[in-house]
Amino acid sequence: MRRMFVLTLLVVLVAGSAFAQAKFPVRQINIVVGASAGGTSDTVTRFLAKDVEAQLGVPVVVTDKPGGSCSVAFEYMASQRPDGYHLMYMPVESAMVKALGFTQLEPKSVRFFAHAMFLPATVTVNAKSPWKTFGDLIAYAKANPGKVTVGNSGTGSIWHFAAVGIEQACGVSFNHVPFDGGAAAATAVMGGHVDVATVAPGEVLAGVKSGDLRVLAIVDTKRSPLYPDVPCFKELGYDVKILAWGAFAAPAGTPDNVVAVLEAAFAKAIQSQGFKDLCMKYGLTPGYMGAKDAQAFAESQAKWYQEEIPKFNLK
Amino acid sequence: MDWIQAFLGVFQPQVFLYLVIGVVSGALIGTLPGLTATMGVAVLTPISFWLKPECGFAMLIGVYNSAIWSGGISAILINTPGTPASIASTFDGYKLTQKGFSALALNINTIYSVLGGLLSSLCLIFFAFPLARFALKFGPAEYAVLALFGLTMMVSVSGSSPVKGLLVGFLGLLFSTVGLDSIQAYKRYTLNNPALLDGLNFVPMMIGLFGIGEILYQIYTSEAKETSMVAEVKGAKQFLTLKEFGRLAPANAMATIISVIVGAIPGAGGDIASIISWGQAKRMSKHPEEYGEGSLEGLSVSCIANNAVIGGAMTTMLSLGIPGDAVTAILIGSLMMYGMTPGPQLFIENRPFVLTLIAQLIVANLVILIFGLTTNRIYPKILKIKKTTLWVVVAMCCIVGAYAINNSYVDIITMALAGVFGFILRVMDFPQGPFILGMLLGKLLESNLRRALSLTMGSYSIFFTSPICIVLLTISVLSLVWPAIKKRLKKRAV
Repeated sequence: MRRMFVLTLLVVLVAGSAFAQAKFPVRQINIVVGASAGGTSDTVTRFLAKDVEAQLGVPVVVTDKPGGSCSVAFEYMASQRPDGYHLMYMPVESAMVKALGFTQLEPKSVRFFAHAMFLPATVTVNAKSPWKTFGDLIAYAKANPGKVTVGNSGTGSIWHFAAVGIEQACGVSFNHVPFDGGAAAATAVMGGHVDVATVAPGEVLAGVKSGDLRVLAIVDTKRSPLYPDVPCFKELGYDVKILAWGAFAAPAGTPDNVVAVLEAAFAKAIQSQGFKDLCMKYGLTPGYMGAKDAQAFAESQAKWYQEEIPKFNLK
Repeated sequence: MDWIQAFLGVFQPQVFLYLVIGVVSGALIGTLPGLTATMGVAVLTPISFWLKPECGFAMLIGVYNSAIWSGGISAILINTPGTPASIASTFDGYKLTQKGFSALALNINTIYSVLGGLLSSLCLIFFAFPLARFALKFGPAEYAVLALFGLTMMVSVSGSSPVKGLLVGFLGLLFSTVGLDSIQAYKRYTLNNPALLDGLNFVPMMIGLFGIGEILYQIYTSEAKETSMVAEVKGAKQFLTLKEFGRLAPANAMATIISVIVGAIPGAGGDIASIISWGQAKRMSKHPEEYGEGSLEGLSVSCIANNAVIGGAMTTMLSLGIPGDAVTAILIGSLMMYGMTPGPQLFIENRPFVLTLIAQLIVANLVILIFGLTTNRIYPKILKIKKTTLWVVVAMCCIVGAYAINNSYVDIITMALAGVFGFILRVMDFPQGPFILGMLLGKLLESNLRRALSLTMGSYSIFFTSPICIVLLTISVLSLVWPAIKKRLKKRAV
């Protein structure tokens, strides 16, 4: 009798789990964002979550766990059960945090299932500055090494590396000044406290429209829809690949069939017209990639940062 | 003409409804310790995207103003600031409650908060562009000196013993160094925990220090017989007389000016503004000894200050597209979502919308005035609840609030430890204000001092060539030596 009971139980359990695997999702999906509410990461995730919610027919809830350039959220997500109900918005920082010594996790530790967008840096100066073109700025910087002050969004942040990438590509040296976020750096350029800011297109938009700021270049292979008249780095003959980006991932060990469902839903949301319009407003470049490509891209980014970051001798 | 239209627009039934919804939910969010104005606006922002811009903004502006006002309610009643902006309201507000004047204190909070909101809206209408241009002049050097000026308030908020105050104040500075240093990203006291990389979270520290600390202290000192938190609610005096109102006017005028400027400066918000205003008002007051002991002037100044910040912050946001504080940073995101870029061109391209925003700001304050004065009678009833019940409820609120701010358990631990620390400070009769001031301004001072020096390649001359720096440094030095001079003058007079 007892054997029968145990057997039945086993059968039910196995069948039950097989059934559960076959049907996904049946309950609420959680997406964690490693940044504060109201920022780009949060906005993008909430927008896509709404779309995915409608497609999958279960609630998709976005929670913000800011801290340590996304490493708090990263550690939280990686420790969750790999059942597809715990996801995370993965910013470029997720490929940097291991090299920065914030956490042991890297893109290899999780399963990417969709890549959403890219975000290039701008080279922005005060409208009153004598530099009318990117060439003017580089000519001055070459003649005066270390004189040009460049504001970024924090030491070890993506916009800091963007400025370092420009230095390397153009053979100049800047005086890097970290601020608390890109908007603060843009404000400092507006007030004339630093010469240049290498921050996101959306962060300097108000200043450009008011005539206080001038964008000299977009650090990307194509122009930004927000500044169609500003040349991109490729046109200027430079090759800098330091971009911010955003993707989505689930814990390692999430089953293939679950990943396939998520991949399909996010693919549809990311390629929708609504998301394209959102990107346009915030100066983002939509760039969908499927699970395989997103994983490969994130890992190649991590490899690059793990080689480059130690060279900066950060503690 | 377009002004009339803007105001009429606010009174459209739908827009007005959302404004009222905003005010009511803001009152709830602000009163609960840990749920800040920033959080309230952030949570409601995605909802506002479903609405028309004027309805969405009516709700957000209602929440913003109302949460800053109602933060003072919990500061006054249970010594726990509902939002960081109401820290200074605990200094005198809670003392008034203990003396039985909670009704009066709550009405002062409402009336002066609304006054602050209205006066700063006027600044927004008349001085938006010059004010925003002035705010841009604040670079790293100016921020550093502003923080230094704020730190001189340590003496003011120290209560009876400046030595004790400075001791805990410097401890606060030390605690502000936890986390990645802002210039070289060097890890300091992070215990290998990623949650500490950004430093100790300020809101849980504040709730613990004031809220939990106060509960522990009451448990420690209470006698079995007492049932409610305060001996008796004296309802007799509920409003200030006109004469008193006039007496408080000069200090409040000064607080409004300070706060509008601090609000306009990006990165400095209501918490800093209200402490600086309170400290400065105490220095200039004829009765500085009353401050911290239930001074009506002290309470009114702290209440007017945190709401006056809103107009300043909105000024920088609307006219430059730069966030003046954390809430306006989110509001910029909402504006962009509606396809509007804040900045001077917004005033030209979307003038009706800018006027609508300002009109909403003004109407929201009037709604708060009515809502506040009618509901102020309800709040003191909280104090009649059995003490033990109240302790549990407040502690629960503190825990939920500390967790909610970043969804992090580390913050609950931080809050609990801060609570024990706050209790020890109370028992040993050390003031908590200087500690909070140190934590609040430590990072601002350190990061901007180092930023300024890295801009000048290590030369300190910038601090003595920038006019703003010179003025602020002079005021700082004068305010530190003034008491000594005053003493000597008095002696000579005798």
